[in-house]
Amino acid sequence: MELNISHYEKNTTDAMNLSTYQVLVALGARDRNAVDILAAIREQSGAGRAPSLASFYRHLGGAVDHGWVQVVPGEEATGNPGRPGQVYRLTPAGRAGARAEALRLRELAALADAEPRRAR
Amino acid sequence: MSERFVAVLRRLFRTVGSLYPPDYRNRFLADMEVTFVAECRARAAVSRRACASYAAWTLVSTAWTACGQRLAAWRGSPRSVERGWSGRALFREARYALRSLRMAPGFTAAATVTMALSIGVTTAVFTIVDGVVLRPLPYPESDRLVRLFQRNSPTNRWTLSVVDFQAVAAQQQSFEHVAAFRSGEATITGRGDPARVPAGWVGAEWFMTLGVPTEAGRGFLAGEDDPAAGLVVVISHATAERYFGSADASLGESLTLDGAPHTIVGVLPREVRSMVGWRAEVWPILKLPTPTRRGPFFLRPVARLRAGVSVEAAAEDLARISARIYPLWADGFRDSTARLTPVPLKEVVVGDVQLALYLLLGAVGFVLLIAVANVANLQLARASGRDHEVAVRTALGARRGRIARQLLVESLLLSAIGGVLGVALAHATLTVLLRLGPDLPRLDEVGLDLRVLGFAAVLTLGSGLIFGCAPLAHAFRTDPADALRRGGRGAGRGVGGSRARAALVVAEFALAVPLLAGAVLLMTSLALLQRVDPGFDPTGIATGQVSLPGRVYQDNNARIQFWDRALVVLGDIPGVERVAISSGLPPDAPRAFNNFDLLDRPVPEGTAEPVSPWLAVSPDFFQTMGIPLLAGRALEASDTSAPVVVVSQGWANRFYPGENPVGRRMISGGCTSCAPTTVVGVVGDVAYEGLEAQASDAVYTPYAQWPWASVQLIVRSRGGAVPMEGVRRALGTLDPSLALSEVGTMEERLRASLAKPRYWSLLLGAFATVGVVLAAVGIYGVLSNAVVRQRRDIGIRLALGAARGSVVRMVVTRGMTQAGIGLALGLAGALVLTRWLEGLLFGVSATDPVTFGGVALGLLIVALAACYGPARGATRVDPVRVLSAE
Repeated sequence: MELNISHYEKNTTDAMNLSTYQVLVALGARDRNAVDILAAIREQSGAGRAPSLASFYRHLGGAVDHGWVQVVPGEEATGNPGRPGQVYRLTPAGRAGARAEALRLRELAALADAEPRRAR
Repeated sequence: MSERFVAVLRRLFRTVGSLYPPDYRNRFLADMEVTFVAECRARAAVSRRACASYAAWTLVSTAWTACGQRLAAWRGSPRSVERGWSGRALFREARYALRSLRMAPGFTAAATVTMALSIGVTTAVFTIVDGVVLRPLPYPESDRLVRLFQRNSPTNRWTLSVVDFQAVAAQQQSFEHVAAFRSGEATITGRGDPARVPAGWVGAEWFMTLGVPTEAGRGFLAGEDDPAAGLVVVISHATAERYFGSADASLGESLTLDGAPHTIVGVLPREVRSMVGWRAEVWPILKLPTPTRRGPFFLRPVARLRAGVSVEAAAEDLARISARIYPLWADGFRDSTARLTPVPLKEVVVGDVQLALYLLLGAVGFVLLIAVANVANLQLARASGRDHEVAVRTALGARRGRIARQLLVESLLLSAIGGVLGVALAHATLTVLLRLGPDLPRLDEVGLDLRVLGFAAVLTLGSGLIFGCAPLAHAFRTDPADALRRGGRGAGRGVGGSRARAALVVAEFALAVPLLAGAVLLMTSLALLQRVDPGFDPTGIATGQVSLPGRVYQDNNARIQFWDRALVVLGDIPGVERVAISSGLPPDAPRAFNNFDLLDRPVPEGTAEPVSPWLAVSPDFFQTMGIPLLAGRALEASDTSAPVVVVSQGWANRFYPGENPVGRRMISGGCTSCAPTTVVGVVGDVAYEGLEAQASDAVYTPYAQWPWASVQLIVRSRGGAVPMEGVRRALGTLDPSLALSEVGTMEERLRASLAKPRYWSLLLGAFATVGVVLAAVGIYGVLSNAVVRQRRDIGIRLALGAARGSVVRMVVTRGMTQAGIGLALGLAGALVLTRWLEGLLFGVSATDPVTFGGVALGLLIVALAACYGPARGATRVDPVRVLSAE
């Protein structure tokens, strides 16, 4: 898939929030329900940390509103005991957004690396 | 994890989730609930504690976020709250602001201390103003309560007589209830040592009129004020506890007041310590005597207007009653212009202190404004040093709104810290203000409560928003490219910021001038009051009040005989030089006024007779007080039958200017059937209506001709302390039921009479000092910052050969120009504002040119001193180092 920068720029004028980025990355491999996404985020962080439930859904909701994530219609995860949860899927725009954010972070890191050399 | 527990968790989560906006709820709440339960189950598998703490934290954070979403939805902001003003975003900004403030401890400390001081003092003064003036009186529908007066001009009103009250009670059509009230003191005997306590004698309808409930027992019943009915009393909670252990235990017990046993029928709630501004321990039933003439006037009735009846309508009703009763008693009361008048009760209770309290609130408001200007100045100084930081953030993609939010949150956080500290400070300040302050009405209702905390919160938020605008404006004016080019090597050199800071300094000085002028005027006034000659020699005099119980000393002869004997016994006490008694005392307690009609200069028919302070004194009074005899003779022990009086020089000048009043005669108290009273002597003027009062007329009548039950005992010592303990013991041997109360020296009385002016001038002086110090700090800060920003320019000037003196002149001129403009604006404002002080001033005009000149000079000196430090700093700039750094 090609990087759809224009779409990303249209929807983002500020840096993407870390939690939103983590949600997008978690959905990069496959469709997941919320419990699975949280588990993936814990795994990504390396320290078993994840945002609070309310914060997580706020960012998930934000990603849905931006068109980065969509609810898979008619498909519900059945891995949880009790009522099954909704399944979420990364959209092409979400994939582009995640890539653009990754690029931006890489550029920032490069800038941070270069700054001490210039100062010298 | 049991299913029952799961059901409880689900229910809790749904309740909390219902706080989300409906749209969000419909889309995500069911899924959130599933995830919540799944996460709880996963943690329960590890430990119950982990599950419980996760559930608790999730419920709290969900509630917080849901409220934020709801607020965002209500404001119509986008559903996504990543960049909005959600609680989460604000919390993140607050954390960032806290870190940023921690990195600038000097600035943070200066700003928070300034805000805490100003918010604390403003809140403390507001608490008093609110409790005393702004709140309605603590009675149901208190706006329907009125006090009744006699009035014959807009400025002259006085109390009612028994005739007036009985006429009102019988004929009025405007009031639901009307009750008589008389304040005074009563002696409690039969329960340990005799105790003199403040008392309020009230009519049977008193408690119904005010709507004050009793904690135990009842108020008075109709008919209990009938002269034939038994004596009953309602007592305060404190009195019930002191004498009987509890409110319930006191009911039905007998309490002896002024020698007469009263049955306790009710106890007031603990929080009711005063009524209509009178703080009394006992509220005995008031039984009115059958009147024989229109006067005397000693009742202060309170009435409750019928629903829908206005004060104006009640005034018309009372005017009709005045017209009806005037001809019935015209031989003794010849003022046909006097009208019964209702005045809103709150106006009567707080009227005296209203102006002074509003002025104080205005003064602290000025201090707060100066503080806000100062913090805005500090913010601007800091903002110019953060240009680089803001520029980098802008370059990295941060929008203006985001930066504005961050700066505003930082200001609000600063203000909030100041506000929290300020409330704590307000509590301490309030305690001090109440402890040191004079006896103001309704002080028992004053306290820090939710309303006051709300005021402090508004103050905090408002201050934060106002001084938060300064760095915002600066950030938006700064060009990010320019800031990046400078690379943080120096603060911005834009003129806009400098002008803003100079304008703030001008504003600070302009605000400080009226404050300082007001304080100096009040202090001058106090100094002049302290120099007023009271008309007697207060050194070596002590006074105390003694009341002869009516049941024991039933007639005039009994009182006269007691004091004839007592004055001899007390005069023989070692260390006592002279002893006298008087119905009133200088400088502010005449206790009685009397009307009179001079036989050789009668007032025209139907007009008001003149009135003067009227004192009943023992023959030795003038010598004991050190009041000089100027003409005629003093009162003598033989003046028992033929009515005689001694008048003051002021009285003589008022009624017989340039003539000798001795031998003139008058009808006193409207008693046309009594023998005329003859003036037998003239004595020096004594202040009886306050040291600040211009009036100095007084009339002295022999105690033997007007024997009061309650008198002031005046004892002059031979030198050294007055042996009042010996006096107390001697009184005890004469009559063990007598109590000596309100004991103190005459010098203490004089000092106490100035308690209010002293308090107002001290407070305003303190506020003015804070204001001037803040203004000086402001100008110091601005100049110091200007010197730092202009190091390069100064360095170049010095390198080009400029003398260091010219650099000093440049810095000082800049500072003094700002101070001068502020001073000019402030003086113009002060000329208008100090006119409000006129009612509190004595011997000095509200626009006194000497005061204004002194204030201007003083502030210029302060400004000059504040300019000196930065000017010295400018001369220490090393041109070589500055230019090489550039």
